Amino acid sequence: MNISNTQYFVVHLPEPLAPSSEITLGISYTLLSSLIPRPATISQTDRQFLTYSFSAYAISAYPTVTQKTKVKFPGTNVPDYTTTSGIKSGSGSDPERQGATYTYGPYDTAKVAPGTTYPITVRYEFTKPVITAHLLERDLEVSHWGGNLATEERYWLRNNGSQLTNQFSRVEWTLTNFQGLPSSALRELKYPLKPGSVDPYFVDDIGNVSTSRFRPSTSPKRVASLELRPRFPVFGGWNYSFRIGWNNNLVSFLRQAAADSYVLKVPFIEGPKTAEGIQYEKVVVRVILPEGAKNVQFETVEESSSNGLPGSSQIQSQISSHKTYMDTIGRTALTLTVENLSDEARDSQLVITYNYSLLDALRKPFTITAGLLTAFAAIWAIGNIDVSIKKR
Amino acid sequence: MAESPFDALLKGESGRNTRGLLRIIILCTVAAAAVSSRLFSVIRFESIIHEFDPWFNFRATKYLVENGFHSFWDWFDDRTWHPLGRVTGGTLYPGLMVTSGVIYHVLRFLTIPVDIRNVCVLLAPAFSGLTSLAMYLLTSEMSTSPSAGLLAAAFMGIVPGYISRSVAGSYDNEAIAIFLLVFTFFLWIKAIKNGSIMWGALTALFYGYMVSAWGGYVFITNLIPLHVFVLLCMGRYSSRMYISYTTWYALGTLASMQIPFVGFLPIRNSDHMSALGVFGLVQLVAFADFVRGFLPGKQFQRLLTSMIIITFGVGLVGLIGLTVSGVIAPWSGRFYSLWDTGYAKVHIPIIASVSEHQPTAWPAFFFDLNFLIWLFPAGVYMCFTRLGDEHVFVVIYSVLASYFAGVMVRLMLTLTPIVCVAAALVLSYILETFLVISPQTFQAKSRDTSSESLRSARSPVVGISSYISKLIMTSSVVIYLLLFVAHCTWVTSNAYSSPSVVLASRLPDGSQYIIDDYREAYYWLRQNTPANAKIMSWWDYGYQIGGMADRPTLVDNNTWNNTHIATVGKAMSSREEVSYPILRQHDVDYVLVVFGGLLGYSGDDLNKFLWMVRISEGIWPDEVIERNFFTARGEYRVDDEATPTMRNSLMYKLSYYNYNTMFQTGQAIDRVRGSRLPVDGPQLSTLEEAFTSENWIIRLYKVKDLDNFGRDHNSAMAFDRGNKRKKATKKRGPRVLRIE
Repeated sequence: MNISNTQYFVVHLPEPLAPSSEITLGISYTLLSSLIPRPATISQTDRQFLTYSFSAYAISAYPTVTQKTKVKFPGTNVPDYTTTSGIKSGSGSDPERQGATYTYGPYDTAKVAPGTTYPITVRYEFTKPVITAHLLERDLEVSHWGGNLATEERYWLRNNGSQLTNQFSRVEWTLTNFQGLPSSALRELKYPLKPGSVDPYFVDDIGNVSTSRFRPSTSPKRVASLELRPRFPVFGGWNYSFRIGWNNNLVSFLRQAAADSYVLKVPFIEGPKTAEGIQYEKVVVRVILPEGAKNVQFETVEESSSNGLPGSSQIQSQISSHKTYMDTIGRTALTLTVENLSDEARDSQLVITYNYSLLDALRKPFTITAGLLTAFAAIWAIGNIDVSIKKR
Repeated sequence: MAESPFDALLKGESGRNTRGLLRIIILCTVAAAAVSSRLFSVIRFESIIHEFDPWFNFRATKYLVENGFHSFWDWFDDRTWHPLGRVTGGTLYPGLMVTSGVIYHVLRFLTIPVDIRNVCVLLAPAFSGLTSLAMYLLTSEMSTSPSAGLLAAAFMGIVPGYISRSVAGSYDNEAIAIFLLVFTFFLWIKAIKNGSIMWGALTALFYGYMVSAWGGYVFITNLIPLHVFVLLCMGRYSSRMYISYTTWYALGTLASMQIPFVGFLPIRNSDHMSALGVFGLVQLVAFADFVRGFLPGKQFQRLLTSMIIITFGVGLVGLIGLTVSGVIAPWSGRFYSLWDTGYAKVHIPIIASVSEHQPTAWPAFFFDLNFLIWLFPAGVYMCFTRLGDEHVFVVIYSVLASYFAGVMVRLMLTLTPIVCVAAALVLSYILETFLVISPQTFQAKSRDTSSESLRSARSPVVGISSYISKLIMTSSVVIYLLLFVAHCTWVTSNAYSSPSVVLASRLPDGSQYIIDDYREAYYWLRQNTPANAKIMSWWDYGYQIGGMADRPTLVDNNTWNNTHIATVGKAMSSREEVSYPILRQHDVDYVLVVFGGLLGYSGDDLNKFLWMVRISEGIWPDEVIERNFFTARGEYRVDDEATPTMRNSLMYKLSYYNYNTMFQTGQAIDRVRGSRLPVDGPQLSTLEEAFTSENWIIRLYKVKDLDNFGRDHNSAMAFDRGNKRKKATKKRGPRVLRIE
């Protein structure tokens, strides 16, 4: 690995660090598309193993004194891992094993130049799907007249796990399901919806997917749950694309800040919640505001536990016009595009402020009235034309 | 006495307005009932395109909406009939797609975000609403009574014979064609009554629309000339008839020739010759009529006789000459099968293999028309008693359509409108006779006539004065009507509202369980195979694969190339060693079969298998022999006693491959054919199972590539299983007789 492949982030400290004083920084980051299934093809009932490669020395722009890398695996079955020799400062084997946690180091790195790498590869069992959404399109449509927030999400999913050596066998799959064995295939996605979500749908290119179930929230505090089962189990290398949507009452998302000014606060992404996580390669969030909304501004708010949402410099924004339901000038649509997003960004919020006057709200009734009047007048005028060829 | 506010509403000028308003309200309600009774499947399942042919129409509509009219017109589809392709733009009736395309674009222009699929799904119900309005207009021309039209509209709205082809999702040509049929007939009646060029031109316009929408336009093409011909024979020639017929024929033929698929057929095909012949005849009669004004009777008689003989002779000789020389195409096979129901089975098995081309069973008439079928003859009789020009039309239509409906199940559709007209005429007559409450009207009428005419010349007072008989008649009619509504609802709900793409069944606890295997497999194909993977299946599923899986197919429901279908049939019914080269030659990547054995789904490929055998036997009588698929006792069996030909056929192997592993040894049962399968399942060497849907209805197989070592697949499989290679028996020379 050479330095030019390295991406630098600048961290500004809130207060300058005084000489010879200490500070503890916690930096967390998520790597996407870094797990490679090995073997690349397995048979349908086999267990799946993933490999992850990294460097024993952490990448750092500064000289470091001591380093330690802990690798936490989802299970204890780790058949292969690199053992280092001669670089660990203390005695004992490297890595040190403790349950599902493997610790590399500590290393005495005061003399090691920054940027030095020591390749380490671990291979561990992960008989679960490696879900990747290579595109997620998310539309939020705000309707002041209907008091409704309509959400629609379109997913293009792929399972990045090991592919099947042979073809799919229904008999084996029936057995696997019957015995409840783990599988690398995606069986089901559970999608938590905010309390009060109604009218959910789950469709794909050829119609309604009949294998879904919706459990509405029983109390206003509890989340509703949408259980989505793809039409077929999605094995490694297989794709599945679908579309889901639902409605919410707008009251809990919209606040009137001033006479003509509104503040909308919605989740940036929601997404299915799975133990194994989902990686998003590209997310396009489109917020469709009412017709005539002006001065649109947005910012993202991260909650303390959440991370994974890139800074505002990484979010491309664009304002366009979207015509639907007898619009005349089109609704203001704010499109935000983010690449590479992890599942953990699901708690971050998107806050949008915009101006919207009463006159804008009355535009549509006026348009429809005028349109109908024109139509009636035209019919009356046409009815009065005499086209007969008889003599008058 | 009636109350005064009602009197004010029902009499005089405002009475007419009230009745007009009531009529509009009734018609709107009828149309609403027609639309809503067709929505069962949307409410029960979802907004989905049904069955087979609609999937093609839907795909074509999507193509039209996405690529515009021009490229739709010139559409060459290389994703069907691989490797031949299909000139789709020139071989379809574009009326349906263009109609929904126009509706879609109008709605989009009004920025109403409508999905093209919903336009397609709801087109048939919407047009059935229009059909009942057209029915009102047509029947109102037949009768002076205003109630006849309303009754006919109501009948047309809910009669199962029409609903069968126009439920929501049944996006087929008939969806708009029946409206056009009825409306064109209405315009024709209007034209012949008024002798007006405008009505004639409108008839031609809607006739052109009809031609663009459905192959059944030939029915109009022959019925209108026949009507005119019969009127001529009855000596009812008039200038009204001359004007309306010539206007319709000239403009209508021009309009019909604008459709690429029809093209020059109207002047070259035997099916259209009657219209041309009657056109000529009308000219001659008009000329004779003109000459008669100038010539004395005897001379005219002689002229007329000689002219008739000469023209008839010349016409006949010309027709035969042109047919023999090939300028005029002879009658098509489908046409022959209309006269001889056994014709198709012998000569064109592909037509006979479609269930809707079978002759109609008697109960079907009652099932589809209920009590209208026994009112129908009475209505035709009533038309005989009145016998105006328009009643002659009803009589001819009834006779022809009754015959056709008896020959083919699907032609019940053309019979339905005229049954509704006839039944409405009768029923309105009955109701008008029996529903009048006050007996004074009869006396008042008779008193009026007595003052004007002689007692002896006065017609006797005929009428029913007894309240009892009125009550009995009225209530029985009402009961019949209620039964009719109940029957229609029941039939629509149970027989005609299943999408057949999605199957519904009930779990033991009564909840609905949806069997969605078709879409499961099609969506798997769509998501996980290369975009140009060729799928081979029996032609029934071609349109669905094109529409849902979006993959190229070898054959589909268009069935324009019998040889290609026979090739697929041969691949399915031959041994693997014969089939594999066929599959390779046609670039087949996947083979799709439908298997209902696990679920007891009887419409599967093994039950259609004999048609594949028959169709391929028609082309390769030496290689595929139907007899070999039956046991010695002539039974069609799939169990231990199945013939070797059957058990080695690709279709048999693909259906039952791996099926016995689902059961304990020797317990594998085919639930459709109710037979226990052999202990050892079939072995496949040239194909491998790629996907099987949840209930095994769809099974997909991938065609293996050639073996890397150049072995044949059978020995490669044997090697993989670890079987010892059979020692090649020592080559001995030909046996020679020792002569030492």
